[in-house]
Amino acid sequence: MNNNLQIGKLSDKLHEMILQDMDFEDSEVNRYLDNQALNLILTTLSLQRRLEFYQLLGNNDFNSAKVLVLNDIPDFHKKLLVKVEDKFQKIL
Amino acid sequence: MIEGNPIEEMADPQATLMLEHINAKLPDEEDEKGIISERGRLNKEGRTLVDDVYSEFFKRTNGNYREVLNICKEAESLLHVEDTDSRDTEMLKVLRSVRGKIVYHAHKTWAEKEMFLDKFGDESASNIMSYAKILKKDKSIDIDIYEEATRIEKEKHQLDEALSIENLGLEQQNLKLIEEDIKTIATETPENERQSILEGLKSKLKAFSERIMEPHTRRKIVAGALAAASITSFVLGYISHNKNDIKTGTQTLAKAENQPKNTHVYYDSSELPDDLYAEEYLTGPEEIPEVDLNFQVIEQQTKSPPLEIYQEKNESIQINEVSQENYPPVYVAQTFDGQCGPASIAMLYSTFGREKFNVKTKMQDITSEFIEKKYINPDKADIISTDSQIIEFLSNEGFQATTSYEFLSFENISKYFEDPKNKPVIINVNSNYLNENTDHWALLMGVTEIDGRKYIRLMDPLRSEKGLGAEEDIDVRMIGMPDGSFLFDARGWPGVTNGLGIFIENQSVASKDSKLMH
Repeated sequence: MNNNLQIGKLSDKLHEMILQDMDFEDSEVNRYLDNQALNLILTTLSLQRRLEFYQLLGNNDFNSAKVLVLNDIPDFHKKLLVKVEDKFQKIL
Repeated sequence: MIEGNPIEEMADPQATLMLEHINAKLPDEEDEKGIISERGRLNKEGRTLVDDVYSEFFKRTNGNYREVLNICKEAESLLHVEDTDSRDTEMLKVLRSVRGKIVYHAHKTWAEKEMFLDKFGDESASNIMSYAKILKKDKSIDIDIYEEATRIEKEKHQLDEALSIENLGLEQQNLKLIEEDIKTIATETPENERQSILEGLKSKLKAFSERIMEPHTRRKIVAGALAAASITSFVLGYISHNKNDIKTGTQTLAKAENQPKNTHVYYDSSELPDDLYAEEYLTGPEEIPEVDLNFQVIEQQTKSPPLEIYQEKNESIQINEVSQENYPPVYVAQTFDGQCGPASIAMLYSTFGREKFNVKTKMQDITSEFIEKKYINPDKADIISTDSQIIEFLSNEGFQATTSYEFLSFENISKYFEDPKNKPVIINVNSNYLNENTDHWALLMGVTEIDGRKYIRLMDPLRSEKGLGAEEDIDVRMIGMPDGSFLFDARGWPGVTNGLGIFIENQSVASKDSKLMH
């Protein structure tokens, strides 16, 4: 795609359209965030912690699962941002 | 409609399809309601049908505005409105409405891309058309607005495709990781049960992703990543060829008669007025019609997602301005609504004054004095002093000042700071830098440029990077700086002219002015 987009592709309008897309749960950009977040969790947590994580999800204890992730992966959102940033810079 | 006429049967299949699509969705003839009101306008059902046709054919043509427009025209030519027994009059009304909608959206898409219009402008059809006309006139080359707007849609489509490919890859990778984990813990479990565990886990993970990232966090991440991608492309010089476009557009629109109304408006398709489909629109796609249309205007605060990520990114930005080593900005956040004036003056004193102060203490001292002198009304966040009272107040610290109410267009700001002798300006605008309800003070530090894109540098006691205590967001038009100041993209600057500017003429600043902004 890199070569297909013309110069000036990162237009403000395009930014706006992408952000507007976030209002739709099944939009590609939301799917991408979900997938990237899960990938970060799965590739960062140890096996033991992943198993605990699955266990908490199985018990519908989402809050504890969230605490586990945020405790074990400091700056989780920042790390996610870096991943999304890297990808956007490659595909935009 | 098109039956029985061999010439018409040779018509563009898309046009035929469009007519069939409309025909199929028209209410039954027996239905008294129909799609046209007693006043001869489209009613709610009619407008819904228009929205449906527009969406359907916009999708079919991959977001090609001109193609949909041509299909509409072709379809229109196939109608026989003189045949009173047919429903062609209703269909004609729908077709013209769709055409009006295409004209509006193409111009809106293009104008927004050019001017940050949506951030501060009135999105009524008449305003959009006026903007597009002005912008088009500004361009030295001919621009096909429909092609430009289509290109933007195409970019979005391409981005979606790229993300879709990424999603497929990530989903496969994640699935594999989870499957391996399940195998590890359920070695003895039969395959079908493992599959069942996996399916259960997938639905839980979906629910979990909503918890780990709430909507505002999602927006922050995406907005931050987009901003970073933009900055990278600036640094690489990709958009330097746009310099002149930015300048001419801003200058023309900065003129008083061309300025946007200071309302933030959202377009609501259900409120699309029939006037939009007036004959004036149908003179040809190249023309921008001169019409005055009344769209529903919904006033709303400009509010964009706060970004927490700029601080890191700033380190990689090359700012073409003179070093501020001798004048490191001293930022202070106001602690209540009416304190923006004292905070701005405290920042001014602390940054540029002869003596060094504790800025917070200074702000409190000035606040007490302002309250005592009745310069501010802390309950209503009002600044109620006269200009001469403020000038006198500033003179106590050795800052001479003058005032102007015709200053704050980007053109004026840029011109003012071209003279290195000129000093920072205290501005009185509203918290979004608009004309209306000008009761907020901030410090205008100068103009700077990052690889061809111009920025206004501000120190606003209400707006700074997170952690400094300010309340307002650094939105997508702004780049927060670690020192508490921020850069405001000149293209998004609202172009206010009647906010107050208090110009500082201070000797102690003058002695070091070469170290200020260029």
